[in-house]
Amino acid sequence: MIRRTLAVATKELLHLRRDPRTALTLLAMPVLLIFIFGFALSFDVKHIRFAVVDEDGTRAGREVTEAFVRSGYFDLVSHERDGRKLNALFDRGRAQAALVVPDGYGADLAAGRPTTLQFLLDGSDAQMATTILAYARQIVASISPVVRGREGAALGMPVVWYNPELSSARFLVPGLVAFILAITTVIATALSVVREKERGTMESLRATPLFAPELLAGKTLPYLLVASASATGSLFLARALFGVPLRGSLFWLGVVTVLFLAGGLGQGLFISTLADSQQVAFQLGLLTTMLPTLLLSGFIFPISSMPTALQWITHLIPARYFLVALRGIVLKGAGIDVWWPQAAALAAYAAIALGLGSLRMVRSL
Amino acid sequence: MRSLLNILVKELLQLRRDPKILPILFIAPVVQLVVLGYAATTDVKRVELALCDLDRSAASRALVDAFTSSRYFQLTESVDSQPELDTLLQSGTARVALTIPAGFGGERTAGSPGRVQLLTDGSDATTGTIGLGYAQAVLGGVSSRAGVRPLVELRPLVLYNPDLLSRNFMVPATLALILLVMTMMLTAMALVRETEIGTMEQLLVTPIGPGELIAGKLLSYAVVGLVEVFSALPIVLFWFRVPLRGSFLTLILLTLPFMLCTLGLGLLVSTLAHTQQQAMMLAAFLFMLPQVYLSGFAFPIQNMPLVFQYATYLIPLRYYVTILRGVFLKGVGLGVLWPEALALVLLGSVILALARLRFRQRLA
Repeated sequence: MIRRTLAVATKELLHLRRDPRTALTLLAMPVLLIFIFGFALSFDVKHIRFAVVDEDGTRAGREVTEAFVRSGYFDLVSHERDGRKLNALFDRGRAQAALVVPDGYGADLAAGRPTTLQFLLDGSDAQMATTILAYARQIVASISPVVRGREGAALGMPVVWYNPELSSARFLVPGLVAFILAITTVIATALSVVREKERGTMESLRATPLFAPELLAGKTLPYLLVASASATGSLFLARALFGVPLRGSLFWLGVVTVLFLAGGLGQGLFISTLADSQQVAFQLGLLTTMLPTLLLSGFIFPISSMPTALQWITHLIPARYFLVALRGIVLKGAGIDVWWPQAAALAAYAAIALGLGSLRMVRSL
Repeated sequence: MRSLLNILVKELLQLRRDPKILPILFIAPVVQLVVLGYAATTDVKRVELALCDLDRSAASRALVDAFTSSRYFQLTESVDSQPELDTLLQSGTARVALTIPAGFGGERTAGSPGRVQLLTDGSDATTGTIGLGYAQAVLGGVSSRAGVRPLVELRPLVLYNPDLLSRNFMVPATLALILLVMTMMLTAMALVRETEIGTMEQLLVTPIGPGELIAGKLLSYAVVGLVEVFSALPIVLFWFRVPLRGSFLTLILLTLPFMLCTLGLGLLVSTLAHTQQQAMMLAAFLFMLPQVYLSGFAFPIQNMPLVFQYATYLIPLRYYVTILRGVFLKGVGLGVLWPEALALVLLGSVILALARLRFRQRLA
């Protein structure tokens, strides 16, 4: 039994070795993505293209401008006395934010009269605009004298945990690992089975004394190996290059990962029974793994902001649970008492996917 | 010209005959649009808030009210001791935890500022930053209602997207993604399939020249791409109500140079791959994913290190995303967008020439 399973696995690995392009893609993709995600991508907003229209021209006006530039977030691209050019700057995307210091600002401030500064911003990218506005508010608050009232102010002292520098790399890289794993397992498994169907070699395999379970195990094991290798590699790379810590236990990380992978393999098998051509299998694989994992798992976009109906759907996405557990273990050092519901969900998903997948597969054999 | 048309018809017939690819062609874009439109919201709303009120005074209750009545936060749990907050943050039940220390109300009525503690789960950097910003805004509101007011007020004016809906930013760009996926992948696979099945040889012994063959193939997938755009546009405009401020004609006109690039990339991939599996892997992982991430589609280009910023100039998607957002949200036309259009034409020509060269070499 084991020998025959291993034989199929060896055959599958040979296929992979003979097809260096696919193997290379499977190995190069994680590395490429880790590099891009770690080095290039972040939601941190910096280098905001910033224009100033200083109608006032007093020292107070210059001080506001300086406060913005000094903050390090804003790059001054234009400084004018009037706002005639402002529209063109925004339309061409040369400016993302503009501060208008109205005439009389300095005089008002000197006299102690409440005054306003106008702040224009390009709202196309809503998230960036929100962040820019928050920065601007902070800067203005820091330079503005305060009118005292009857009661004192309420001040918040912020403390950031787990990721004190709020770096996106730490947040994104664990998500990326889940993404890579989901894609490689599901798509590679589905394609490897459908390829046999397409070429007609499935018939020859059926004619051998192989049992269906042996065939299944042999087909899926190599991809489990490849995926585990790329997961380990990704985590190592993330740690070496971006200092993504591993605060929790390695053992539990392994357990959760294998649960997730098993589910992915089941899903791949299931897809392979639905598709007759590699083209269809690939499209189905992409639709059921890449999109949901990218969009609905909380990898990049926060689940709590989605409409309620969509939030319900996210409960069907295994990557959602895996991400909570993964981020919990890697970034927060959380133990099983915290993420056992997620682990249970993953186990259930793996059981269902593998069960359904092999059932349909055996029936089709 | 006639043979070109023949290939076009043959290709479209072949698509129609494959019963499973057709639904995918039309359902996939719709699914992508709907999911991206709803899920790809980077608006941080309803941040999960945990609360530990150790003061229990009128002032602390007013502060709690201010938090729960703001639409930014949803109170998930209220606990009596600070260590309990730790567990809530760890399990992700809460993203922001507010502690109001005993004596908060007393301090404030005495006229000195009352201090509270805000704990944030920074593992999600986006939600963390924005959640803190919201919390500060709520606190500022409480202070100003009490009469503490800064002398200088900032009056923001948001252009192009006054409600700050991230949907308006993401949905038009999704059109670009759909076009990229559909035209590039389908072209690559269609060409490789002919090689794989061996019908490429048959096509080449017909009096059709290789140039016509390529042109016919590309043209048929250009038609598919345009059909996809036209079927996706109503969803963008009427379902998501993204405003189209520029002209429809400009939009279509500027789509053509982008398709030149994607079709060329498809052809290029087909010359690099021997099997459909390879073609798909190459197209999806080495050509598509990096493009998507480096195009400014979701992650702003200005935050990238300089090397990557220069690399983005080689990415057709970057220009087309700018074009789409410009036409939809800013209502600008060729007068502003001509550099992007020019870049696409140049890139497209280079890619096509390269692909054509490799295609010839493969034939020889």
